[in-house]
Amino acid sequence: MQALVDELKNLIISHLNLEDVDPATVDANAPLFGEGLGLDSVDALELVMLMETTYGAKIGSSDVGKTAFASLSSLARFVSENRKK
Amino acid sequence: MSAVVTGMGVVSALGSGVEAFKAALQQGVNACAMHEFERMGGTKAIAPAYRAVAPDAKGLIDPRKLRRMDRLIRMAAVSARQALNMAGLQPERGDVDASRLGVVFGTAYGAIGTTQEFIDSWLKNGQRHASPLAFMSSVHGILASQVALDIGATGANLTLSQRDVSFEAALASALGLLESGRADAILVGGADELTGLLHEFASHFRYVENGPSAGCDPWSGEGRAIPGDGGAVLLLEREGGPRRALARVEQARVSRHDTGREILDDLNLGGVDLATSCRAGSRRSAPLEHARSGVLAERLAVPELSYRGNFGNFPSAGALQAVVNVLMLQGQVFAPLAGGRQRQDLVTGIGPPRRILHDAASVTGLHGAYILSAV
Amino acid sequence: MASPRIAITGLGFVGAVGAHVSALEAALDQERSGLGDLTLFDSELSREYPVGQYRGDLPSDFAELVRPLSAREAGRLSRSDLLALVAAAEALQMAALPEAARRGAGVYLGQSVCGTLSSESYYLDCAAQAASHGRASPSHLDRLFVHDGANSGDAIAREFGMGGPMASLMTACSSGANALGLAANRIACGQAEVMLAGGADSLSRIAFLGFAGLGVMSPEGPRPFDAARKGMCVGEGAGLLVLESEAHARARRAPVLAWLTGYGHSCDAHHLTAPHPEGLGAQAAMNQALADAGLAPSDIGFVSAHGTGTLDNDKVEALAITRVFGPRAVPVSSTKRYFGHTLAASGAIKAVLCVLALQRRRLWPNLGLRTAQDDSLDLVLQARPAPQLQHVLSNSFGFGGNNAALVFSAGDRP
Repeated sequence: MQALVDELKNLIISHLNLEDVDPATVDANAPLFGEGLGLDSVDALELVMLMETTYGAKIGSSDVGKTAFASLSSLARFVSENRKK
Repeated sequence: MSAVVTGMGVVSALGSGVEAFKAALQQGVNACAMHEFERMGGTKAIAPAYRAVAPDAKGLIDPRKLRRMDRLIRMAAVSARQALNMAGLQPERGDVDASRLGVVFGTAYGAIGTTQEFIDSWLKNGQRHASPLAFMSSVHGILASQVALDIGATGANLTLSQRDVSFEAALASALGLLESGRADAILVGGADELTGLLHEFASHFRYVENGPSAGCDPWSGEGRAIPGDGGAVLLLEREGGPRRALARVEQARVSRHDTGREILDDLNLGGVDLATSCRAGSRRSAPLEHARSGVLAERLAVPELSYRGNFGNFPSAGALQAVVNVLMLQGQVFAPLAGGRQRQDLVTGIGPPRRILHDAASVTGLHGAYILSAV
Repeated sequence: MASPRIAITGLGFVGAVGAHVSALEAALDQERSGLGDLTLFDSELSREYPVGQYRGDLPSDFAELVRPLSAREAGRLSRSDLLALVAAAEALQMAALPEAARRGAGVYLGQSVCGTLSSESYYLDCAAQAASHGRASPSHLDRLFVHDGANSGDAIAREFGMGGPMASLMTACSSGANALGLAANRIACGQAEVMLAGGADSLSRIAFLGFAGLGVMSPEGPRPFDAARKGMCVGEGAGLLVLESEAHARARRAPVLAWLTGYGHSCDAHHLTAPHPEGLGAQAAMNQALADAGLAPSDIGFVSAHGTGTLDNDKVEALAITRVFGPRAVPVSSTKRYFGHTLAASGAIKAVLCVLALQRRRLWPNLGLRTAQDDSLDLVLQARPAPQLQHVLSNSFGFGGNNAALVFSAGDRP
C-alpha cells in the first residue's frame, strides 16, 4: 500500500503542477483539500479523470469522491479496491 | 477625455521587465535567434524567432497561483504585476476600490496552446475524459480572468480578439470605460504565444522565415516575417490621481481600413511629431504597409518608425510598441533594428517626441490607431 | 450617473427553434423546445446529451435575405460566421438604415467558440496524418484562419460595408451581453451614431466535450431553477441588434422597438468557472445596470435570468436576484430550454427576447420547471400578460466570474 501512496503522491504533484510541493513533506493522512495540500474543486475534477484514465477506478458520485479524496491513504485504499488496470 | 499611463510591464524576447526592455532597445540588442519548434508527429524544426524570455514571476506572483498559469498567462500576469509595482499601486493594500479596477486584454490566438492540449486530452484518453482544467483554461478570456483572480480586480473584465490590432482594440475599450466613469484604473494589455502548431502552419504556407536570419527588417519589403511572442501591460488611470503620469493616452480607434473611411481623420493630429507603425517588411505585408505609410505621409510630415526588428512580429506586439512609445515620450529615442543593424540614420536629428501617433493594420482589413502625448 | 438611452431599431435571430425573430416568437408562444440530437459531428456522447442545434441551411438562409454565396466564399466562412451573417442581415433589414448610416456603423460581436468547429476538425485531420505518417501536411490554411475571434465581425463588416468601430468580445458566456453594453458605450461616447451588436457561436466538439468533461451537462435538457436539475445543455445561434443614438433614430423617424437603458459589468475574481457563492459580482452587475438606467429595482417588471440549469449558477443567481430585488418581488424566467445555452450568443438572443417581451407586454414561462429549488423567486410558470411592463433586466454570466446585466425599456408601442 505504501508504494501506491508514493505513486499517487508523485502522480498528483506532477499532474496538478504542484511545483512548490516537496513530496517528502506530504503527510499521507493529511487532507488533500482545503488547508492540507490545498487542492480545490478544479483539482477534484482533474483527479476524478486521472483515477479513471490511470487505474480505471471510477468515482461515481461526489459522496464516493469525498471519502476517497479525504487523504492520500484513503485514495490509495479506494484505488486498490476499485482499480481495473 | 484622456487617461494617463502610471505604470508599465513587459515580457518580451528583449527581457522580462521594463528596465531590461529599455536597456536592450538602447543597446540595439538583436533578440532574433534560432529556436526549436515541435511539429505534429513529434519531429522538431529549428527556425528564427523572437521568442519571449521566461516570465520572471519571483516576488510578483504567489507560487501557489502560478501552477494554474501556463506561459501565455504568466506573460500577462507578470506584466500586470510589473505595471502595478511601477505605479506603486497595491490592490491588496486597498490603494484603489477593487470594483473600480478593470482588466482589458487583447489577444489574437489566446490560449491556443491549451486548446491543443485540451483536444489532445480526448485524443489520448477518449472523449469521456477530456481534461476539465485544460477546457476552462482554453477559453479566450482566460488572460483577463487570471489577472483579475491574481490581483482581486472585481471591475470590468474584458478580452478582445482583433488579429493584428488586438491591443489597439483593448486600448479603445479601456479608454471608453474610463471616459464613461465605469472604472478608475484599468490594466490594459496584449499578449500572444507562438506555439509549435502556429509556427508549423505559418512555415508550411511560407509566411515565416525557415532558414537562419539576422532578424526582421521593417523597411525591406521582401523575404518572410520573423514571428515572435510576448506580452505587455499599461496601467491607465484618470488624470489627476495620486500616481505619477508617464504619458497621456488621448484617443484610440479600431475599424476596417477597406471601407473608405479613414480613422486618422477622426483623430486630432495637431502637434504629432512622430509616427510608429506595425511595419514588419515581409513580402506579404509590404503592400499594405506601403499603403499605410502613404496615408500617414498625406497627413503628417513626420518620421515613421517600427520596432518589429527589435521585438518581433506578432498580432498583439502593439502592446510592446506602446511601452516603447511611453519610454520615448519620457525623453529618449531608440534607433530601430533592421535585419540586425541599428538604423541610426532614421533617428538622427530627431529630438524626444512630444506627441506620437501609432498606426497599425492587418492584411485581413482591420485598422487601429491611438495618440500618446508627453505630460 | 445614468447614461443616455440607446434606441434599438433592428433585431436578428438564428437558433435551434429556427431562423428569424418570427421563429423565436413562435417557439416562445408555443412553449416549444428546439433541443434535439447532435448531428453536426459524430461523438460517442451525442446520444447522451441533447443540444440546441440549428436544423436549417445557413447559406440558403443568407441567399434569401441578401445574396447567394459562391462555394468558395461559403467554404472560407465558419458556421459561427454564417450564423452571425444571417442574424446581421435580418437586423439591418429591419432597421432599414440609410446607406451613409450603415457605412458609418460599427460591429461589436460576442464570440467564444468562433470557428473552432472547422479548425478543430482540421487539427484532428492533421493529428491523424501525423499519427500515421509521422508528420502532418497541412493542405489548406483557411480552415485554421476561421479559428480567429475577429472573423465573424470582419465577415459582417465586409459584407455590409460597415466602417465604424470594431471589436470582438471574448468573455465566454457573457460575451454577447458585454458586446451590446460596450457598443452602447461607443454611442454614448460619441464615437458612433449607429452600432450593430450581439453575439454568435456555433456548436463545436471543444464546447460539447468541454462541458461534458466538467460534468455540468444534463441528459434530459436543462430544468432551470428546478430542485432536481441535472445541468445545462449547449446550443448554437446568433442574436444581433441595431443600436442608434436617440438623436439619430428620431432624425430619421425610425420606429424605436425598445431602448437599451442600462449596462452593468463586474468580475467575481473568485474562481475559473464557478460563480462567487454569494453572487457578489452578479449583484454588482445588476445594481450597476439599474444605476446606469437611472432606475430602482421596483421599476423592473421582468428578469430574464441567465439560468443555465447547472447546480451552481441557478443557486447563486437566485440568491443574487433576491438580494437585489427582494424575495419573490419580480417575475423571473430562464428560457434556456427553448434553444439551449448558446454561449456567446446567449446574452444577445435574450436581448431580442426582452425587446419582444416589452413590445408584446408578455412573459414566457421558465420551460422545464417541475418543482422549484426554493421559493425565493417568482418564477413564471405559465405565459402571462404583463400590461404594465416598462423595464426588464437580463443577466449573463461567464467563466471566470464574468458578470453582465442589461436593462431594456419600452420603446414606441404600436
